[in-house]
Amino acid sequence: MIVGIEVGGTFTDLVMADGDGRLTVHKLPSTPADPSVAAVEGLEQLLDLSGHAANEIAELLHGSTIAANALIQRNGARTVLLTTKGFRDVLFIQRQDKSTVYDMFYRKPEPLVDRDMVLEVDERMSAAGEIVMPLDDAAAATLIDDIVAQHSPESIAVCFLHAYANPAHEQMIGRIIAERHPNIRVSLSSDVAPEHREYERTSTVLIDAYIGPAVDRYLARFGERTATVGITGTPLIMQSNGGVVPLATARRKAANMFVSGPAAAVTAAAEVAQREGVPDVISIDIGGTSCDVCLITGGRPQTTVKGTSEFSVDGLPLNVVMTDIVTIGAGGGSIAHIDAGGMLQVGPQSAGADPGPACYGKGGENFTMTDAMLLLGLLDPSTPLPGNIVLRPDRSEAAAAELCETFDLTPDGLAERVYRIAIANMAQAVRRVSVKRGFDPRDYALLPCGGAGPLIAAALADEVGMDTILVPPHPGIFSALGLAIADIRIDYARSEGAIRLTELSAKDLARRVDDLKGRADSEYADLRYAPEELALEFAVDARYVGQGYELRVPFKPQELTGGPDTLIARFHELHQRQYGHSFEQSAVEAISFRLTARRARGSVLAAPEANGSPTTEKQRNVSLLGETAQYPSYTREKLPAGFTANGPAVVVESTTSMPVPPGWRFEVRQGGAIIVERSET
Amino acid sequence: MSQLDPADFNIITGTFKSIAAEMGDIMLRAAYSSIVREAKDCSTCVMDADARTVAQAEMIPVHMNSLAAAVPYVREKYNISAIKPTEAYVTNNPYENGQHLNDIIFMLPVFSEDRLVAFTGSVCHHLELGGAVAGSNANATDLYQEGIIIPTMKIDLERDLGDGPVEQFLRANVRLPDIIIGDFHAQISAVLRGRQLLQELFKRYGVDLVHACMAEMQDYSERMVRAAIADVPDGEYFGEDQLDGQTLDGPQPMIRARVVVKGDEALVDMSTSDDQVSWPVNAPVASTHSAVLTVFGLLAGPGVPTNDGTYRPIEIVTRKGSILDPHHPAPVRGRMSSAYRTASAVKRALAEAAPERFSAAGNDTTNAVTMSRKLEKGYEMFAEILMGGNGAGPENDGAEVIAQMLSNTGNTPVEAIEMDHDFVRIAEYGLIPDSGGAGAQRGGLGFRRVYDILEDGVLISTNGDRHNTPAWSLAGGKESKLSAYILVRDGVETRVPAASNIEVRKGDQFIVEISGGGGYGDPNSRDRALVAADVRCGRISPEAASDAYSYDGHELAAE
Repeated sequence: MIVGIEVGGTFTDLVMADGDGRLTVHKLPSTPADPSVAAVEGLEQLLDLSGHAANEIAELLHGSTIAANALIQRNGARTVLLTTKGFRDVLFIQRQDKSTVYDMFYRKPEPLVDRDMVLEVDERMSAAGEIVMPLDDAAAATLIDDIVAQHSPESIAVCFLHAYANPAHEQMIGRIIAERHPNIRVSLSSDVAPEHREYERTSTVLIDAYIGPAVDRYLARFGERTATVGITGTPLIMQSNGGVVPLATARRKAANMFVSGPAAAVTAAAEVAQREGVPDVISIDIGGTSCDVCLITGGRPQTTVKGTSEFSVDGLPLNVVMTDIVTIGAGGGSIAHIDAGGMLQVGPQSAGADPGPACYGKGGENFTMTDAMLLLGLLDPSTPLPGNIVLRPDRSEAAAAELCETFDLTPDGLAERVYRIAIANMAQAVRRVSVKRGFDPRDYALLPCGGAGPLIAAALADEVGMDTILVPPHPGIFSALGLAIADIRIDYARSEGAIRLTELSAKDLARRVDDLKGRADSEYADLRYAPEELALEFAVDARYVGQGYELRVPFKPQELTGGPDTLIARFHELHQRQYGHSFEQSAVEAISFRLTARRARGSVLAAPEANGSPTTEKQRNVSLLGETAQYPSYTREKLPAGFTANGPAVVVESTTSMPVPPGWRFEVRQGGAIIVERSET
Repeated sequence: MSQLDPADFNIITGTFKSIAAEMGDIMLRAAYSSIVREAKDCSTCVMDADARTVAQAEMIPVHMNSLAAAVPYVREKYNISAIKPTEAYVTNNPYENGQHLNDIIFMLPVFSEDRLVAFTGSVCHHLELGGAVAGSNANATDLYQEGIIIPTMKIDLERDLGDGPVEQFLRANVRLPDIIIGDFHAQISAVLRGRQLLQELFKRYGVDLVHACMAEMQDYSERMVRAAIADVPDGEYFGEDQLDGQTLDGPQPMIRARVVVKGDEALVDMSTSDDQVSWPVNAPVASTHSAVLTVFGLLAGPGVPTNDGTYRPIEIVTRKGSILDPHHPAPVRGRMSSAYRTASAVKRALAEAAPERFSAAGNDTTNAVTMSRKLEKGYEMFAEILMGGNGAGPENDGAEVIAQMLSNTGNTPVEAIEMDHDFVRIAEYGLIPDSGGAGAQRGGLGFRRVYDILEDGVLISTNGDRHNTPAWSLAGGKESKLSAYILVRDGVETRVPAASNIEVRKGDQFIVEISGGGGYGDPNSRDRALVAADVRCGRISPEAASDAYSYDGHELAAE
């Protein structure tokens, strides 16, 4: 039996999968002061509910927003940052550029520590990793003692120039602190993010140090509490890369815990995509205030690459492998309004859950995306939402009055436009994860999840030119589900400085592969997994000599037995795809070699059970893709695998519904997903 | 507005913006030179069929009307509507409304069913385009010494690039052919992608609707800029700022702005600025216009797209033969200095009218440092654009070390510089305490960077300003400290002018100190807790705390 516990900002979701993959779901309010309280209470309630005992749980998986919260609220540890002499201010100078150009009163992203907590150490490496200024052991020890006495840090981050090329000095400092002040947590940039560009690396290691103690304490407590409840195994913890690691490993890798729920949802999407034989999908997870979009190719979610703007948290760069999710402020609660120039806009402001959209009747007076969907018939006013929220079209119409007058529109006319604008915003996000990365979204299926995902799927697919929609089972509890099925995953990087690929012999390349593989084998051995259990994915980050940003080139070790030619050819090909040109005559250099090591977990998921026979007891008027039609509605639970029907139709589930417009058809798959496809083009 | 569907307007204008942004991304990521890929000194835009700007990627403000400004010269030579789909216009000529020679402007026509419907454009600062010295030639006395001039001309992408004459000619005339051609192709990739995306848009929505949205987007910006100007009290206002001399004690040209605000329109008269000079700080008129317009973009604030509509409420007057509108062939390589003084003077005039809506002056300078050396295999070079502190606003301290108002260039990571070049090592890169002006809101700090030269035969060429005139303050705040460039040889420190060419050798040090911004409001009214924090964090020295802020350390102890 597997249990996944996902702690979100508002709710804690739990899902239990028994040996046959049948699911039991439970939800309770989060306890922000100590999220492990709700997590463990929820676990006890879930056990009660299902009538199972704690010792039946073979695996317990957990994801939490603890890391992001500590950073955004700036309540992490008292942290000292040590830098190379002369470079105390890298953290404050940053990259000198602005995120908004026409702002006279511009404020930079606020660093995690004040300048008085940044101290210099007299040492220096060259770019080649040669020692320019040696670090004196005794002097360093004295310095560390002084700093500890003066600043009493709970955590120390170390980022020395060119430590990615030679970590010796950082390691010496690490050793000194460990010996003399064992209670202080140490983060070394050469461990956390061993790659060049000092601001990004400093920011990353400082984030790790700053949130490390909070993450560590939290996970320790979570481990103790679950042990008290009677869980015997080691809990597995969700990481930003979409995989899980054992709790003890996660305690050491705080910077890898930022994206939890959204990454888990993408993991679930990738699993469903692979299982349904539709391995290329774009997942879109829509909640009340935002939507998360991710590109999944061949069943593998895209991860962040240096140089894209997405690898930051609260404006601070974070250079670790993360699921590459684009988030925009477009969700069910997004508010329609007129901007200063007179343009109709939707979001990013959101009515949230409270008071929520006008149609919730809880005092919300703004016309939102949900109100638009209600007036268009995409939501059914006769079926209350979870939490017994009765939808009130009259409230939506009242909220629409002002905008209707401004633009001379009926409420339905306004609803249609608000919906279109929101869809266009989401389409931009889809383009950002696909076109901008060199992929054509028309080659992909759309995988909608979250409560509102299916409601926008047909319109979004049409807008982007996609022909297939894959509606997964249980779209409303996707994050918790993702936990239950995630692989164990650890990423490794080996910085090269910058070395020409042509200068690397087959033997040199093999040595790099062996080094990375050795690190993975050894770390997994500590977790008691054998090398043959691991699936290894190698890549090299490469660029033309002279360029500043890299492309990630995947490879298999056996492709390198003849030398680097395959890598170079593949790099040209990727460059051509991404930028429309390549320079076959130019030299290609490697910046980092990478390895993703996974150990699959044999988790099972059963399809939702179908009972009864398909009927279309109800009909409703739905406006979609510019046409209004009568949509017969099918109840999801009554649809057997293999069932198929043409649009117009709407498939209603407990947490959402999927409208299928005319010209499209749907089919229920064995695995429980529903495929919606264009039936005519 | 009424005839346009609000959803069409939102969606199609959103697409213009995202097309411009996507073009910008392509350019940055495909670029070769650090000046493009790290410093982001390039811009991209979408223009209507008359080549008026509709949307541009938020990159470099001074590039903002570069493309539109070049169009009249294109029209003079060519019948734009007769251009073929494989053809494009290119120029870098400052005397045909270009900027300086390093900025190559590229414009590609967009056709929809054989009809010319739009243009896409890109401007890119190229690391080096020939000329008398590698890097910027501080001693140039005319344009010809500053690099190769690309007159406004029409090229055929299939015929003239690659092995064709234009690319071969360009390649033969620059010191770093691979980098320059690489960046040139990045520019072309950007405009080609823009064209493809626009064609899809026209195909989907029809020419008439897309054109209506282009026009309405310009009107939309115009409305917001007019509203911002209308908030400034009517009247005639004056502002000035001074450029450094060519030598440390040489004459310093004065830039003067007279701004007349009437209702929702403004007249900006720069004609009383000093005459053109013999060294390269003359600003071609297109740069002067960009600088003036940027101030109004700042007044309107973030969120107002800058396009042709932004320019309409503003009339700009310059005087031919002045430093802001020089006669051909005056040298212009360092035009950013005078463009910054122009923006600064205009901003100062408007701040006189409405101090609560402006910040004090920032470092407001492009501090360019180029280092190069000649090797057997060819030239090796890198260039950086370094920025000082922002001026403080009525409610915020100025940001420290930040791209200034005409720009948004980033720095180059020290590790990237040292990875690519072994003739230099950076010994220090840090904030300078007290370098921003004191105030209730403090001017942002500038910084100090020390370069250790590791090889003989390195040429440093620099640009800069504010070595003589500090950043001005507002509302009783204090001025900033000054910038300085210092050469250290055999233990002797020598100050060098802001624009210099210096041969350095192994063992030399080159020190760059960049000023902060001006302060805002009386320093004595600065929150004492903030002064205490500034002292604790070393942003204000204890002496300055006492002198400028009347801050007694005991207060700190008492708190």
